[in-house]
Parts: sequence; structure tokens; C-alpha cells
Amino acid sequence: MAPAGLAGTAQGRADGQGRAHGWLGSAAGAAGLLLAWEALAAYVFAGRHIMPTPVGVLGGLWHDRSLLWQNAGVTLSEAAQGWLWGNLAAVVVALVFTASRVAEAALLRLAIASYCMPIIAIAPILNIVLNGDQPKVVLAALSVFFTTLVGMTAGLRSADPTALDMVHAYGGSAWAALTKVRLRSSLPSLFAALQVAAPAALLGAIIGEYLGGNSGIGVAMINAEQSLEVTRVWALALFAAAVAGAGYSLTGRVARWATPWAVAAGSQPGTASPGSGTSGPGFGGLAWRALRSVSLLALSLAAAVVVWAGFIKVLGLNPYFAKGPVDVWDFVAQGPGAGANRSQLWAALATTLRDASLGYLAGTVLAVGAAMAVVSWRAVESTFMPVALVLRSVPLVAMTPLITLALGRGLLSVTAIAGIVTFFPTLVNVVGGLRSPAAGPLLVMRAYGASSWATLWKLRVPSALPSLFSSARIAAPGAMLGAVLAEWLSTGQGLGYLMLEAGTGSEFALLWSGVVLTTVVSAAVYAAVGLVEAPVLRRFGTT
Amino acid sequence: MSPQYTDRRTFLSQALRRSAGVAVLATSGAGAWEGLLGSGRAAAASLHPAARSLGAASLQLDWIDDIEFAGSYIARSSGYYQRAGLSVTLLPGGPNTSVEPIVVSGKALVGISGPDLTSAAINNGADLKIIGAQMQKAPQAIMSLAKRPINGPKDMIGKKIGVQAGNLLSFRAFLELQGIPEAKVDIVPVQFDPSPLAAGTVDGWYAFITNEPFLLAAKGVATKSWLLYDYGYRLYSGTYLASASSLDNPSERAKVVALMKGEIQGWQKAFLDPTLAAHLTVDVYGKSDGLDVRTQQEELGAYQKLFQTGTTARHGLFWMSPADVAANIRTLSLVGIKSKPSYFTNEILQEIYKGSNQA
Repeated sequence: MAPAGLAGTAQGRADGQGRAHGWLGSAAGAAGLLLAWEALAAYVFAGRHIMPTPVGVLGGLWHDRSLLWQNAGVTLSEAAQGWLWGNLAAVVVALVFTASRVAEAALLRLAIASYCMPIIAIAPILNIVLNGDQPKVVLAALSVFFTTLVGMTAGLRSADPTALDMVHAYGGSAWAALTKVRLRSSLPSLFAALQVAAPAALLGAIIGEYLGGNSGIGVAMINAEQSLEVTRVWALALFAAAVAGAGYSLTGRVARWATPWAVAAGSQPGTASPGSGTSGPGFGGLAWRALRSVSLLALSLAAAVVVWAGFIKVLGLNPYFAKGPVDVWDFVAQGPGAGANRSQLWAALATTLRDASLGYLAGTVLAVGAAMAVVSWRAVESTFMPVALVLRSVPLVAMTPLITLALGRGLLSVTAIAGIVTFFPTLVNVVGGLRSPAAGPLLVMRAYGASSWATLWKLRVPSALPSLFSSARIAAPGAMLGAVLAEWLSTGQGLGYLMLEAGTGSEFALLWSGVVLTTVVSAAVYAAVGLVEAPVLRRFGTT
Repeated sequence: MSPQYTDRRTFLSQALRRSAGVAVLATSGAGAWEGLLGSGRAAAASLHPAARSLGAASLQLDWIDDIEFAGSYIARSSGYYQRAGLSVTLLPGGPNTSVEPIVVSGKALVGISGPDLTSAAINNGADLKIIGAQMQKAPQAIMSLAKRPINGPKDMIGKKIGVQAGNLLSFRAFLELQGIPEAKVDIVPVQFDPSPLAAGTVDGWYAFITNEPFLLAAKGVATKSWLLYDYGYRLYSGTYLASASSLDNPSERAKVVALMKGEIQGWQKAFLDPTLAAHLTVDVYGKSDGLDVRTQQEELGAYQKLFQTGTTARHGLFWMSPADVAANIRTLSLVGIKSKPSYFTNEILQEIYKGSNQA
């Protein structure tokens, strides 16, 4: 399921309301944010070289305008190329998945792994293998691939079965079904995914720039941070956010222009996740499903190992830094010191899991609360949602230093960062879910004079449960990656920091083991959510 | 300043990008990356045909463009590399760059790193040699606010010291050298931005004496700093490294010699003409970074004190004396980084200086 898809829907609905009202609300939201910021900067953080005032940042934006444009051009070009290639790859793979269930079964987990891989840890490896802008482009592409794959697959599957039957009945081939029915039906959720991909690609490119480069928003940011140009750090962060936000809303506009029916019908992209095994009727018993899962898992693991070893072999990478599956196995299981290596990794993992769970909990609780407020009061929606959408597109690498400065380098920061990763997809998805009850029951509630509170509890909350789970699929691994990022950039604990230290100290067996562990655990979290999701969807399923 | 130079820079990057497109179309798999690298180099080499062309090579820096690479900028803009027959591409680094694997992979012929990281890499199987040392004295220092100064190593006990990940190894080594148990100092992991010290979140900052004190001074924050070197932490910094295999291969070795000759001449010039160095850094290389000329020039003065010692006056810049190498190895052994005299070699410098102290 695509949180992406629901993001599009939520915005579509917001747009459906009176435009003037929306504008006023957004303006009020923005003004409130600015006032809070001014107060914080002027009273709480004054004189501590942490937070400039909004006026100061505005001045900084003007003063550094040529620097901003120059660097933005570079970053945008990297992000745009990554966006294009990543999305293209995702669309192609989605088409393959739709054509062949076998291919999907074999490859889906690799795709999930690409999403669960800590890109900050593989970035240095890409930097060795690739030249110039390429590592940044690849990181941007990796950042968009999975969400688009999920969105596109869900879209292709959401095709109207009657229409498909028609094509088949008239002797149409699978190709005809694809071109005449499926592609058209996939457009709304594809566009929604492309929309989320815009800020994600920018984030990937900026992370890449932290590896080094002549120019780019990330490079300028490193320099501004090191030079204690606090105003410039903020100007760059806001500028990056504005660019990401522009990409987001521009894609949204194109989507509404290209697929007017999606908004008009208020249709929701299907909530079926690819390969989750939940979309079809539950054939067979639990044992059969477990057996199938295990064998698929083994198949995927084998595929991952082959891809990994092949990557090293084909590129002819030096064994000093390119550790293969055998090296990692030796490092954690067989070689001398394997026991010590394992306990080092376990300790780091425990910290990261704590960080990620706290962040996930905090982010989810806040998101559910905010979603309830949004559906209950129109004013909250028009004030809060635009601000939330803007905040969502602030690149996390840009935000981390600001959060660290404000909240310190402890648990609070890491919770905040993992929480932010969780908050936005959950908010958008749960808002969509709370809105999903059919019109009929809503009318009945209203006819019987039920309060909006009663409607919320009796009707909306049960119908939103599936969306909570479907957002968890994206949000829970996201919280893991957010925690790793925060540990890397800020707290100096956990897997994030362990991988950073390993990379700088040439302990590449440890680095690769850390990457594998993070990926496997994130993917396991993803799969675990899927297992819980299945019965919940069956119980509360909307279709 | 040398418009030809700026043009060259843009031209080069376009040439690289254009040839990249062709290379990717023409080849596939492993060949693609090699073809890309090769054609990029060929394009670069053809721009400035030298008297005896050795081709092209890359130098991997360990940070984004700033004054600490001024010698390389001058070597390029004044044509010192070209005169030595080599077209050099400077690869900027960043906070997450690992220089050693980039040199091992052959992406860069020579890199700039530290003796700690390079020795660790050699111990982990990297076939590398340290071929020169820019800073004879490591710039690592403990910086504190002038109003709450930390006056010496023992003063750090019970204080919060901000240390970046890449510097943890060396900070721990220093504590051990001073006989200060690690538990007695509160090490706070930080990134490169010194604002936590300015904000008072930490009491001390693991700084580079060439950098942070000037940045904070420019912000009106007075600081006090002392070099770890002056308390027995005798370590080089900004050491050049190359693959041992490129030193053994005559044509690669000639490139290394040419590159290092350009580096030496560039740095000799930088100290003679700090204004040129600062302007090249601010207006050409770090153009999109928004650097400040005065700060960069002041920093260059601080670098000069670390580059130039009695040893370099006798033998030339970057020279590594046996006594200093032995001191480096002792310092490194404190953190359990094994290092040996055989990890360091003056052979390239010998080939350049031939007994003189100028290149």
C-alpha cells in the first residue's frame, strides 16, 4: 500500500474545499510557525549560536542568493537524474511483478532490502565504485525506488476486475489488459508515489554530497556548519525544504491535471501490498502459509547473497574494502574473535532498536492524535496539513543538525528524528483511513444525531486501523533508518555510529556486517508488520 | 584570477560528463566504470599537452575545498603539475570520505589522510605506503572558551570534551599518553560544527588549531587552544598515501613523482604568496562555499607553523625524518594501531629533491 497514494488523496480532499478558506488556514499556520520560531530564537536560544531569527534567515537567504542558486543547481541535477532513473526502474520492475507472480516472489524481498539498507553506510562504498556525481545520483535513485515500486504495483493491481474480464472475454491478451486497463488505473497511485519521490530524491542527493563534492546544497551545508555560519545553515535547510516542497506540489499539480478522475471520484488507491499475501482469499492453513514464507525467504536470501557477491566480482572490487558474504560470515560466525564481533554488533543493535522503537511510538502516538484532530476540525486541517506537508519535505540530513543543536545529543534527539520519519507517513495514512468509511454509514450516524466524537470512535477509528498497519510497513523500517541516521550524525551510539567508526577505521568486515544486520532487522520488522497486518485487514478490511 | 583556469574546470567537468554518457552506452558492467574513468582521463590529458605527457591522475582530498588544499590549487592554476607532465584532477572529500579505499581501488593515484587511518588500513590488508607528511606537527588541539579555559591535559578531567568520530582514536591515544583514564573525561560525540562549544554544551573541543579558533574568533568568541603535539602527541597529519604497487610500476611511479613535485611547488608558493593562496581558495575552488578571504589567510599562517620545521628546512617540505617516524609509531601504538617504519617511505621525495631542500 502506498502511504504515497493516501498522501495524494488527503491533499486532493484538502483542495476540494473552498480555496480561500484553505489559503487563509495555510497562512495562519505559517504565521503561527514563524511566531513560535521568532519567540524561540529571541528568548530561548538567544546568544547561543544555535537558532537565528526568521528575519535573520530571510536576510541570509537574500545575502547568499547567488550561492544558493549555484549549489541548488548542482543538487537539483543530481536529484532529478536519480528521481528519473529510480522511478523508471521501479515502474519497469512493477510491470514485471504484475506479469509474473514468480518474479515478484523472488525479487520483492530484494526490493525491500534496497529500502531497508542504511544508505548512509553504503554511500562510502558507492563513492569508491562510482565517479563524479554518480554516487549522488544512485543514492537519490535508491531513495525513490521502493516507494514508487509499491505505489505502481498497487496501482496496476487496483484495476477494475470487470474491465479486465471484459478484455479477456473479448480475447484480449495480457498485453491488451495492461495497456488498455491496468496502466490507466495505475496512474493515480503512480503519481502519488512520484510526488513523495521528489523530496526523497533530494534527500538522497544531499546525503551523497556529505561524501564530498565541489558544490551542492550538502557541500555548502558542511561548510556553513563548520564555519559556524548558523544563519546560513538555516537558510540552506529552509531553501532545501522549499525546493523539496516545490517538487512535491508541482508533481501534485501534474497529477491532478493528468488524472482528473482520481480526485473527482475521491478514489483511494488499493491498500494491497505487493507480495504480502493478504490481498487474495486465505487459501490453505497457517502451516502452509508459514512453509511458503520460509521457502520464499530462503530463496530471497540466496538471491541477495548472489547479487552481493556478484556485485563485488563483476566490478572487480579490492577485497580490502569489498567484503563478500563469506567474509561477513567469517567475521560474525567462524573466524577468530567472532564472538567478540557478535557481541559488539548485538550491543549496538540493542541501542538502535531502543532508539527506533521510542521514535516509532512517539511518532505514531502524535500522528494518530494529529490525524484525529485533522478529521474532526476543518480548521485544524487547513492550518495544520499544509505545514505538515512542508515539514515532511525538509530533508532529514538538513534537519538533524538543527534538532541536535536544539535538543542535545542524547536520546531526545534520536527519538525526535526517528519520530519524524514515522510521523508523516502515519499521519497521512491515518487521515486517509479515518476518512474511508462509506458515505452510507456516515449519513446514518448523522441522521441519528451522533456527535462527531461518536462518529470518530464508532466508525472512523475501526476503519482507520488497517491504515495504521499499512503505514507501519513504511514507518517502522523508516524509524530504524532514522535512528541509524541520528546515531551517525548525532548521538554516537548504536549501529549508526558503529558503522561510521568501522568505515573511518578501515574495519570493513565490521562495516559490511553492520549493513547486513541493519538491513535484515529492518526487513524483518517490515515482514513482521505484514504478518500482523494480514488478520487485521481481514477483520476490518475495507474491500 | 586566471579565467583560463576556471574555464578549464568547467570544461573538464563537462568533458567528463559527456564522455560518461558515451562510455555507458558503449560498454557495460565493470567495463563501464573503467571506460568512464579512462575516457575522462584522456579528455583531461588532451586539454593541456605537456612537454612529456605522463597522462592524468586524481588526488583524493579528505575534506571539502578550503585553504588546507591551497598548495594543490596553486599547483593546478600555476601549471606545476602540467610542467611535471601530469594532468591532475582534485577529488574533494567530506565528513564521510574514507580516502584509503579510494586509493586502493585506483580511483585516485594519491590521497591525503592521516598516519593513524593509513596504518590501520595497511594492517587491515590495504597495500599502501605513506609517501610524505604535510604537517610535521599534528594540528589537533584542545580548544576551550577563553572565559572558561582548559589550560592543559589534566584540566580536562571531569569536563565534557566534544570529539568527532574520525578523531576518537587519536583522542583516546592522547588520554592514554597523559595517563588519564578514559572514564574521567566525558567524551561527547560531535560533528564538525563547533557551535556546541560556543553554546556551552561542552567545555572543550577537539579542534584543529588551523581552523576552529579562527572561525570562533570571527564570530567574536575568544578561545584558548593548545596543541596535543606539545604534550607528547607526536604525530604527522595530512600524510600522502599511494598504493605500494604504483610505486613499483615505473609509469605509475613517474606519475606519483610528478604529482608530488607539483604539490611541493604549490605549497612552497602558497607560503610565499598567501594572498594568491587565499584568493584561489575563496574565489575559484571554494567558490560555492562562501568562504571568507581573511579567515582563510589567517588559517594559512597557522598551517605554515605546522608544515615548516627544522627537518623541512634541511630536507624540504613533507620530509619524514627517521626520529619523527619512530615517534609517530610510538604514538600510534598507544591506541593499539600497529605501525612500522616500512609503512613510511621518503623514496618519492628523494627522487624529487635529490639532496636539495627545494623542488
